[in-house]
Amino acid sequence: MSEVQNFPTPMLSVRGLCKTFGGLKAVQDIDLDVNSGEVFGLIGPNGAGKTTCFNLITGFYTPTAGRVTFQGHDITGHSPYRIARRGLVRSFQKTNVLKALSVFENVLAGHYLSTRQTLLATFFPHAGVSRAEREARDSAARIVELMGLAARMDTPAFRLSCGELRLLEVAVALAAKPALLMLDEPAAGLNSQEAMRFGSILKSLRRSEVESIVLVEHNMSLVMEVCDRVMVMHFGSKLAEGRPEQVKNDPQVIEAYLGRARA
Amino acid sequence: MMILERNTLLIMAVLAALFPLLVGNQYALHIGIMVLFYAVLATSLNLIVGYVGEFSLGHTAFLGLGAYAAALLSLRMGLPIWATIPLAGVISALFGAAIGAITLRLRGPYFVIITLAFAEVLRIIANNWMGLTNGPMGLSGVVQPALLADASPLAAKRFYFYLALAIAVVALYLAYRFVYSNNGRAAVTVRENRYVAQSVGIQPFAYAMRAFVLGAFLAGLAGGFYAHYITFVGANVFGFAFMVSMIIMVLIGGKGTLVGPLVGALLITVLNEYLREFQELRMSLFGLIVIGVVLFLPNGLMGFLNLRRERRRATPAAAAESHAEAPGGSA
Amino acid sequence: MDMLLQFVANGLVSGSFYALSALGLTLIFGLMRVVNFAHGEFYMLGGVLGWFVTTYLGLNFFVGLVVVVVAMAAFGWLVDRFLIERVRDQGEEPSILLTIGLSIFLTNSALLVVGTAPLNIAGAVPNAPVFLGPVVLTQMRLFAVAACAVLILAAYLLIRHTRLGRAMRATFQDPMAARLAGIKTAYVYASTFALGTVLAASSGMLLGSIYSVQVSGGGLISLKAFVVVILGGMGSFAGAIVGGLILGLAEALWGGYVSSGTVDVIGFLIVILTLIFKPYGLFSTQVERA
Repeated sequence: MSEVQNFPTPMLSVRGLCKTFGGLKAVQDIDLDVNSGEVFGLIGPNGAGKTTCFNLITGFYTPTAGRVTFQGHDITGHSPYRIARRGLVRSFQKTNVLKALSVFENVLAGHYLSTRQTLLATFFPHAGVSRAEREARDSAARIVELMGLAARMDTPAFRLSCGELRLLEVAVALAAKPALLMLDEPAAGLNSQEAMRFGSILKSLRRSEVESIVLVEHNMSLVMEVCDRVMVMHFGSKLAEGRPEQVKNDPQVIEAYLGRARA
Repeated sequence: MMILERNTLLIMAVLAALFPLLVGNQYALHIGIMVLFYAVLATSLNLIVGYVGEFSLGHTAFLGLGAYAAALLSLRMGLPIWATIPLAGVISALFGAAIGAITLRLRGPYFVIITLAFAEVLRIIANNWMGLTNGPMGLSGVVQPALLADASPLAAKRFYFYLALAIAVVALYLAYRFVYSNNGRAAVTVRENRYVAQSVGIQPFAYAMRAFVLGAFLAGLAGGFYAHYITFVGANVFGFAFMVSMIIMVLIGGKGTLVGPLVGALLITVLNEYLREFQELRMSLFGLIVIGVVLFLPNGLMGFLNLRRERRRATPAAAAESHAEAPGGSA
Repeated sequence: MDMLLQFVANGLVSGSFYALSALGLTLIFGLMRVVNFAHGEFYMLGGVLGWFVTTYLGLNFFVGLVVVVVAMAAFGWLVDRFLIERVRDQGEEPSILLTIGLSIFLTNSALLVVGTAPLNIAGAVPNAPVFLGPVVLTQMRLFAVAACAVLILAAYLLIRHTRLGRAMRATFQDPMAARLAGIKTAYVYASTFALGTVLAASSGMLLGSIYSVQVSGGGLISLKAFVVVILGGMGSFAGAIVGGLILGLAEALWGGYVSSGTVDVIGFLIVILTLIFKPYGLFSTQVERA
């Protein structure tokens, strides 16, 4: 993209990212930048390689080629937990929460990084440990309320509705205090009303909770509503990138979605 | 949950401390000692089964290592009991770190089998390494503490009861601190969902390892106690009989709770004694109990009680969610 | 040199026995994803039943084998319908625990009924020695090796070339699709479990006629079967055969040259090493995906 960037260094920078699975090129030569303060949308038809991209950036797959830089650090091929510790936290496409635990316990578990302690402090806790615990509990309660799940605080996760589960997933990710939050189809299974409510929650998160958000999403009206910039993927490659209304009218993108002229 | 478990544990400890004062019967004291011994063992196994979420069939490795370590330290090096039992725990924990480093990379049936293989290898070594373990004859005459030299049999039983109680209190304190800390939460997060765990910054292996080593340490303490109390250690400490008892205690009481394995230890030890004369009948009954628990009580007695508590709490408000009848167990 | 040949021959003979006794385990795992910890007890029950029908009912070996096969097929079917069925699709742990419970129950109930003394089954052929150059074997062992080969081949043909076998493989690949295609998957699962049970029980009877039946020996049989199956890769037919032969050879050589008292240790060392370096077996190409 030859567009002039407003920001000197992007927060997340991906260059030449590739992944092949036994000869199949799932992701080819992807470049992308996510700037601080931005909501970035990653869209494309099913099987375009969006989730693979996610897995490559967050360390769940190792890239075949390419580099991933986050806040100036090369994180290519690092383990997921190390990447999370740098402040890049993701959610998953299929519902992934701790089913047997309550909503509050889920979010509390997400506070792992802020309550780490030595084994000695585990067995003989000092004042710092109990303060960190208290802060984590307060923060967990606050995040649950922020996501609009206050009424379900003590409900086990397996009793939640689909929409509530999606909110809980985001809450668990937020609990890890990310700088960059990456959400993989967070509105899947929501009706349009729920999706809109979800969108307004997402918008309120930027600045207040996280610096930037990357969103993989199929729900176009949600993407158009919340994203500052979007990138379109098709057959593992980048098809277009730009502001939502720009991309929406790109003939190549329309073609990809409607499936005409595949050759 | 946390407060409830803490209070239950405190009440249990007080009741246990009063027991020898109320009972002047050696046999009853012996059963009390065995309940406490098994409570430590079941607690230690529960750290792996309930919090790592993997099923170990080789936990007797650590019981046996602790028992042999204490017996050898006492017989060969003349160390007193207050040194041998903690050292038995430490040696067990070191082996736990080594064995855990290998076994915790595997999951499901592979983990079950490799842990069993380790216990069996140790059993065969104990049976064959004449120079160290005295082979099939075992190590007998493990030294008794000097202060018991002139004590009556009843006083000796009381001494061992309080020793076992002290070990059980230490074990449950450590387990309680571990479970209700960031460590325990991280372990449960890994157990419930490895992907979520990694995405919030948890290194799965590290927490499985911590729980595993703590479990090995506690089992080693129990083994060290066993060596002194029984005064004899043979290769049977690595055997399947101890393993079966431990599994049943954890399962029937409820894995993943601290009180559950204690309830299991009490029930099964008493049942064990009651059916003492009928070895095979007892074991075949145990087999049926395992089957029954898996089919009808997948979260043990504690899980059952918690479910009832939750239902009762939910009934006034929740006609709306009565459709959600899915079981709460972990997959 | 002659000693070596004798050890190798002994190893191959017991290796083929191991292969047969592990086959049912690998079949049930491969097709049903159930890790059957009661496998050794099914083997033991086959031996006990074989002893009962030949000794008390006076049946000859082959008629007795047919009775054992029928009875154990029914038993396996019932175990699946009444126990395994109830924890199907709940992941690995419940079925592991369930079969561990079953194994404890079966061993001790059998001990309660027939006691600890080893039981002898009258063999199908005389126990005369056979000289093959420098190597000595017995007629009975050669017969048992042949029987192993026949049983293994029969199981293979059943799975590859019969309607039931096709239904089994279809169900394993995609239970939902199989159901939609009109396959009664509950019956397929039960038949698979019954087949695994029959393989275990018939090897139990066959080998009981060579060694003797130890009621309390089920645990060790299960463990050896696991060694074989882990070595060859869980669910792999050819792997079970190769794994069995490797274990048999390794034990014979260890027993011959290192120490006969610690023969059992070799299997566990193999398991530990295999799981460290090739966790899914020597021949598997399975890769874990996120």
